[in-house]
Amino acid sequence: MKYIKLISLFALIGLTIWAFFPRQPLVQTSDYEIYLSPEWLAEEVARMDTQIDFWQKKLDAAPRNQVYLQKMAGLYAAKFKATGEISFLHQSDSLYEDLTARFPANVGVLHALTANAISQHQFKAAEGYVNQAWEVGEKKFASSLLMTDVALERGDYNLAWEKLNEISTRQHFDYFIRAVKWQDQSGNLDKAVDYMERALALAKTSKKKTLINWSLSNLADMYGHQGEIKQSYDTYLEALAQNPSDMHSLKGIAWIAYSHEKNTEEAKRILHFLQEVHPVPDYDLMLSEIAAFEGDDKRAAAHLAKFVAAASRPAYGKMYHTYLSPIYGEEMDDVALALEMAEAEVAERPHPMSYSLLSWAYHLKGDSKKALEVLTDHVIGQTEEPDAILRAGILFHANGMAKEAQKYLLEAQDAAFELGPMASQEIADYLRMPMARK
Amino acid sequence: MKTIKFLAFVGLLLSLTLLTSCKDDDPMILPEPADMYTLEDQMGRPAINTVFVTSAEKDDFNQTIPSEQGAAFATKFQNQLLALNAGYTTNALGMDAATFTGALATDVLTVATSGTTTFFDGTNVLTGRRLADDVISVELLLIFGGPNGMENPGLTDDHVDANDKAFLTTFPYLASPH
Amino acid sequence: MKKKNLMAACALMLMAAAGIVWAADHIDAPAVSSTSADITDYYAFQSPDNNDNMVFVCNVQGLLDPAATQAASFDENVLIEFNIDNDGDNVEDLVIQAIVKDGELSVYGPVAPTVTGVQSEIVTTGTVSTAAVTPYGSAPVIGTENGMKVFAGPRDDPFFMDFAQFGEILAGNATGFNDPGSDTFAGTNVLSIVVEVPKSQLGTAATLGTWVEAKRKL
Repeated sequence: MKYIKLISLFALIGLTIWAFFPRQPLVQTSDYEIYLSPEWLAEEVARMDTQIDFWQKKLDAAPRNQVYLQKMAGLYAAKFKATGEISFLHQSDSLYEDLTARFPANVGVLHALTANAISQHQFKAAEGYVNQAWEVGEKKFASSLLMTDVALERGDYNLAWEKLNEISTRQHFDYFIRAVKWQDQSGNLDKAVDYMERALALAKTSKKKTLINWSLSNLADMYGHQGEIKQSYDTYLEALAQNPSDMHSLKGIAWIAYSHEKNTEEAKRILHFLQEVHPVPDYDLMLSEIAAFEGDDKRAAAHLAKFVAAASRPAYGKMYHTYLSPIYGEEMDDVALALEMAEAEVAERPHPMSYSLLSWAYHLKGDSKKALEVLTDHVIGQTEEPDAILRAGILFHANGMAKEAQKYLLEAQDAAFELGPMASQEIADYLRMPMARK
Repeated sequence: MKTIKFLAFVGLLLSLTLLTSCKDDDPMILPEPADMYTLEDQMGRPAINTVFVTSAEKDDFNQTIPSEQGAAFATKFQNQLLALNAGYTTNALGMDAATFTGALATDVLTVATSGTTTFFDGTNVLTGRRLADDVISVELLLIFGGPNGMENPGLTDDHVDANDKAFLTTFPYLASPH
Repeated sequence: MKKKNLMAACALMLMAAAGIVWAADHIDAPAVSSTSADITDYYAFQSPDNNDNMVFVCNVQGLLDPAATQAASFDENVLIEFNIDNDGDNVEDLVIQAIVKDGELSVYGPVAPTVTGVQSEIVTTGTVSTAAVTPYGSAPVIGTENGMKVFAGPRDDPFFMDFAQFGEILAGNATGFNDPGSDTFAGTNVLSIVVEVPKSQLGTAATLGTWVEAKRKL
């Protein structure tokens, strides 16, 4: 009895210390400081430039050589991935387009065009290219994989399922990462993680650093989805060890610093570094949110304006419509443009996420009937993406549908880490806000 | 209008069912990996798949084991030979189309364990393949050159006769990388 | 209205931002990663160095420029299998199985396979000969065990052909070759596996039927 009391006392003391002792933050600058140097990317780009020079010299001697042109196009696409500079992707595309005109049966070229189109969110074009490849008939394994990718974006889940099941060799990295996508879009996050871990194991035995890095950075994203923040952070670090110029993982760490730890200074420092070496529009959007969180509306607006200007460049085509549509509707008071972009997005990518945009655009326009119709027909029950769930909650709230509003707002609240502190605040506000019954 | 809505509803149901059934029984669960290896690519003689197999059948040919290739592909090879060279009669080895493609359809490289190793040197035929053998010109000659090797002169030689780097006289024989 | 607008504006901004990391911006999947099992070429010849031996060469991962060669590595899930038929039925009677694990090449056999055809398992009851994979820029590391020589590593691509012009002809864009032609593969490298084995280990047939396969681990 005495002992039990004593143990309880110790437990109480222990608990008190645990509760009040300042815990070490997860994000430690020393873990990744080494990667915040422009040299890593410069090194990678220098290596690609050596390769480009090599094939260019060969092309100078044989300008129409399709083997060399294909190599060059592949390198330009890789250089876009590394640097974020969209003109390299266009260079890649124009080389591939010339090649497919001269060699319509070259399946490798058609597959590359498919991948480039997916990168640019041109899913209809991607569908055209991969169907052509399938018709030619060679390399059906790769065609099936890409058809699965495209079908998932085009909202054609029956076809995606069919193509995925056509693949007979399943102990295959390429198969596993499609199984990941399928499970993810079906809302089975745990299964998706399981497949991603298998893909990683295979990537490790294949010894390909790019695949290992890619698997790790995606796995880190998915651990974040699961709310496993420490695992997510550790995995980003592992990814960076494989590829020190992995911007995606650095961005992930910035998000953890901000969303999980509210360490806005560190998040901004990482994002400013990323902006310096990797000129894509995306970082301004995150900086805008952070500024808003800090209460600096002026800076938030400035970052947002920078994002809109950059993302609206014609060079990006429809790549950023998903972000631009709601921003135009809300921030720029251009609901007509928001609706137009959402409609274009639905045409290109008839996917629950696009319908979520469309429903939101109708909502902004004040057309509640249409907004709810699109929402219930194409979004509800078809995606678990936190963005869509949150929009659904707000939309139901605005329409006085209390039960639904609460359900989706609470569900969105579970994704607080992914949605960020501003969203958590808003969700809490909405949940408290009284609403008129309709 | 009603029909369209109804169809949309059915479509929605279908996709939902699909997702649900997947959640229930996960048909994608895989057997435990065994220590087995499965065929992904194969090769016997140089460029056979490239030249004689149509795009639509390259995958199938790659997955057909040599003992079954002849039966499955001899006719298709012959069709492809005549598509490449409609005027084919016989070649420098005296083989008519059926004999030639019948021999090629089984993609196995024969290697003599004594005598001269060569792909074709004018005397010895297919006693192996050395690094320096100009196999492509041999194949082009046999496909396009006719009985005396004189037909289609623009197609019987690619005019690349040797490697860009000298081979080694000792193991591993291939030249060091560039 | 104004207030609602402001609320929604805030919500929207954060939603857009949330999407940055998590939603539509998952890095594109690598389209297809599996070219590591593509065989570019196969050679089989009597050793120019020792008349008692036979040499088998399998090359994978073609058209590597020097920088790509430096970064290239063997896929350790892929088995390279040299098949030898001794009786003319085009079914393998002996196999030589080469696979890289943790940077070391192991060559099993020649040995009778436990299964023939599309699937294989590594036969460990015969001999195994090993060599470290030769790094780019180093002198060849040659394993010498069981009377064999084995090598794995980057080499100059020994193949030569005006492949580009041949493609133009096949596509109907040209009617003949150029003279002189241009070797499409000049200056490029491959990853090679080379095995030299005593003829005495390959049976007694005067002519062997041979082919090579790349097989992926199930």
